[in-house]
Amino acid sequence: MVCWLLWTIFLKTVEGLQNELPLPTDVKVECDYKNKINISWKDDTSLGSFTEKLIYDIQISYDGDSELQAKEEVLVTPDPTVEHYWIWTSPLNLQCLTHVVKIRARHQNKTSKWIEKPIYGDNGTERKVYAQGETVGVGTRRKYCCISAKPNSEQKLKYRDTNLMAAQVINLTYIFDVYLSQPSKTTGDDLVCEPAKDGFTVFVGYTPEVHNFSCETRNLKSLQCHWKNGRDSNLKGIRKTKYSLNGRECLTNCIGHHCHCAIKLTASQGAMDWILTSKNYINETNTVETADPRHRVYLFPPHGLSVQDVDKRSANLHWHWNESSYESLPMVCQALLNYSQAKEIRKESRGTKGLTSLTSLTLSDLYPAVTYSVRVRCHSAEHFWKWGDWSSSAIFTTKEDIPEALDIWMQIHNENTSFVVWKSLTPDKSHGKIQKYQVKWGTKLEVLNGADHRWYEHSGREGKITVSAVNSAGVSPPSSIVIPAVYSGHKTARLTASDGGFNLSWTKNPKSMCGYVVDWIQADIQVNLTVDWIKIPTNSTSIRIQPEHFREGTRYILSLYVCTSEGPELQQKWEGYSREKNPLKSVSNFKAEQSGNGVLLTWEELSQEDLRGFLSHYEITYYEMSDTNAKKKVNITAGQKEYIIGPLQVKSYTFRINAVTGGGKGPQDTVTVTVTSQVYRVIVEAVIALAFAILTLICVIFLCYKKRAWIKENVYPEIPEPRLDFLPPKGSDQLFELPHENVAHVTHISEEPLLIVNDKDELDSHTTDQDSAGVHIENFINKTYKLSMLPIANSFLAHPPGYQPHTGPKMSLVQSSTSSYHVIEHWHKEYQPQISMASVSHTDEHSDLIGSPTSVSSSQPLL
Amino acid sequence: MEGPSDAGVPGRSAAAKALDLARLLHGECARLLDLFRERESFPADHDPEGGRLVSLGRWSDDMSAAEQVWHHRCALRKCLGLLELLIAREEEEEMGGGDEGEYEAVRRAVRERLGHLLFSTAALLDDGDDVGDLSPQHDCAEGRDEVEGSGSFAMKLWMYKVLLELIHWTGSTSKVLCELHSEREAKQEQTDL
Repeated sequence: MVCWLLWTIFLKTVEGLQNELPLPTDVKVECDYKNKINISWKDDTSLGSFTEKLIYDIQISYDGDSELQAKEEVLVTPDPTVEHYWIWTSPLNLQCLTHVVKIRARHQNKTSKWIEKPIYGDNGTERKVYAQGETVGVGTRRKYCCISAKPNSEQKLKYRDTNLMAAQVINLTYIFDVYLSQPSKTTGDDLVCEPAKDGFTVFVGYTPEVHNFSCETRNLKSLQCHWKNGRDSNLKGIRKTKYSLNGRECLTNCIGHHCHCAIKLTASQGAMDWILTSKNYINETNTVETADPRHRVYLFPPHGLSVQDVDKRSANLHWHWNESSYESLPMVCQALLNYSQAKEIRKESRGTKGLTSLTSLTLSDLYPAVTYSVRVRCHSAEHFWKWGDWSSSAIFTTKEDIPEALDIWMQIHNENTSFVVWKSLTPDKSHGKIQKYQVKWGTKLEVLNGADHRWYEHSGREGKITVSAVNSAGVSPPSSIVIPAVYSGHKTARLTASDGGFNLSWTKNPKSMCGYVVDWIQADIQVNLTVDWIKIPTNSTSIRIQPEHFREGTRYILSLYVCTSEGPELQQKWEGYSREKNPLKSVSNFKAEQSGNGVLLTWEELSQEDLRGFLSHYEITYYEMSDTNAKKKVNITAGQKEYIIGPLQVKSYTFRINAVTGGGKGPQDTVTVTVTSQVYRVIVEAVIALAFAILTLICVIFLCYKKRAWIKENVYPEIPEPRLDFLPPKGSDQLFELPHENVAHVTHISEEPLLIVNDKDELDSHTTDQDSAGVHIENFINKTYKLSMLPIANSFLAHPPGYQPHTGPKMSLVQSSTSSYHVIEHWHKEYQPQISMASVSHTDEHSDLIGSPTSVSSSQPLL
Repeated sequence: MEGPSDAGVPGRSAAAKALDLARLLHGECARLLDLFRERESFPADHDPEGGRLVSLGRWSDDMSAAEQVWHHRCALRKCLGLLELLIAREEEEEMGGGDEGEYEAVRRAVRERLGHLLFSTAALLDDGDDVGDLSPQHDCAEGRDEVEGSGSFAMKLWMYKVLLELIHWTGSTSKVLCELHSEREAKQEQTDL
């Protein structure tokens, strides 16, 4: 019977499987009324013995829409006692519309019937808009729906001033696809269904970002973790990121992007994972760090730092710790020393008490008489994580010690005077305040105060001189020097600097017993000469001198001394500029004057102070003034003080001169000159001479005019007017008788009467007036005369006594006897005509004519 | 956003001072609403549904001016409660971004000045003999402080309504204070005559 029953069941099962699978049982569809659908079911009891895998098909669609929104095949091992489930998250709020969930079983080609379960959405009476996930990440795409009371083609969703159109409409549900591409406002972005004015707010931000997560402990009791936030999540208030450490909420303080929180430590926790969970409404992130808290000790600063047992070069530091947890912590501590020169010296001291904390430190190798400021910090000796914080400072001053030996040198000022000079001791060598210096030579001792650094020797060579410094702790070891004889005849070589310093080299001197000394002085200073020096070991034969106090453009003299057993001996001497500069001034007395067809330029040299470098050459630039672009340049060798430029054209020229040193060109001086031609010069000279002669003549004439009365009186005294007096001779009167032979006879008389002719008219008028008793003498002035011989009586009347008529070339010759002339001649000599008539030539014959006895009767007296 | 100083005008009545304060407050409430709209991108003509959040329990047009002031004071007290609730919710949400901007400054000023107005009107009513038997504890107004719906958008709508209520009741209070001031001025003139 039992077997029959079992067989029947088996047959039915097989038969059922062969036709249609049984429906899933206890199908439940649950939702959270947001967007999650949870479907659960069980296998039919008839499948309890089914050994093969079974598939359940699940489909989800919107009511009224044939398109499947979800489709899934769930593979299960049949077991009627086990509940199967499948969860689906809808991109749309479940309230937007009714969802239909269908499920069936399937095995190979056989399936069960579908079971449908609806999830009803909003009926449209209360809300008009549904959304889920009010806080989302930037870049999310979301589906939102607006439910309208009636079909409305104007249904829109407003987002950020943009009206979105529905992507899908099912019944009265309008579904919108929204791309949330930007972070929202602090108060969220509003999406409003238009025209219903219902809406929702969406907060769009970023998931938390944590960087540089690190944990450490300061007291071994609590752990402090630090991190730096990445991009701002853009979420505030209840939506902002919350942090937890290893699952425990951690009170977090953030300053800017830097955050920290602390949790308590349990004893002997050892190495473990520290997990920081950062969570906001969008997502959560976990950041892990693995560490042993004892390897992450960041110590607090030591307290109560004090200094004890201060000596010349050592002192003890003491402090204490406020944290009781440090008592068993081995430490390494460090002291930071600052003293007046701001130099830092770090000294480390490892704890010597094993597992106990360090509370003291001995400072050694300190400088005597130095005031120090000291601070201390520590770290765990077990494992270095980082140095703890510095303590507050403590100040102390070490005791004084005797000074170190002085660095001394000498300088020979002249034949009779030299001085010993020494460098000031730096605090690390003076070991206290230098009170005085002791100078010994021979058996003599001179004490100088602490401010002196040189001692003059005025009395010739003193041999070995010893100098010591003295402070409160005692006298320094002595430093000695021997001042050598005055050197002469050493040539000073010119030295070229490089990069502001001098590279010196020399040949090794076999006399060197204690090395070499190079000293240098400023060349142009004679008073308060400062000297600096450097001491060089015997095996060196070169050195670079580049002190900070070298001044540019200043000439230095460097001397190399070899240190012998008998004192320093000058070996070599140089001069040079650490850095040459251009001349400070222009050359003086720059002049130009024409020399032939060229121009002679002359100038004076600059002083050494003004040169500021080795004079290279003079640069002369000149150009014709009407063409300033055509400049010509001439370089003149240093040392020359004149130069002829030429031949030049007859124009005006400008000449400029610059002195040039290794540092560049100096200021220029300018002169302008006009070149004149030689011919022109001769003309000018002639004109000047002529002008001078005319001026002189004018002066003479002027003087003559002014003194004409005097001249007339002295040179041409007035001649009484001639007068004919025919009164009968009185008794005293005596007639003389001309000898006959003295009376000239006219041998020829021209038929043409003697006339004075100016022009034809005058000639006519005169002709008509020739019968007049006389001729007006004024009419003769400056006129040309034609003379004709008149009968003697008329002729005589026509020529008043004393007047000598002019005779032209046409004048007829009158022969006369020379013997009858002497009286006339005498008169002629006394009378000078007032008017010059150059055209008239006098000949002796003419004179004879005038004085001819034929012109007067022999009975007329002669004046 | 400081208002005029009362001390600066000697001889003014308490009613006049309260009136000035109410008018000043009314302007500040309007400014606060503008800032809220600006922050939330609410349109200026947005008119939320749902009626008044604050309403008077008993009202009659036959009431004296003092009685009207008394009732308005009740409404203002409710408004202050709503404003404080609004502030608490905004601070919880850090809607201002954590920093105090102009909106937060005006909001603080409105809250403080509303407190001053309540104090002033209380003193005004205490001094008058025209109030009748009105107990300060009398439940004279109703206020809805619950948010209709859930979510941030519903919260913003509620806040918007609260600010509208503030504007409405401060404006209305100004009017009744003006009436009270006129009444008392007239009465004072009659007494002086």
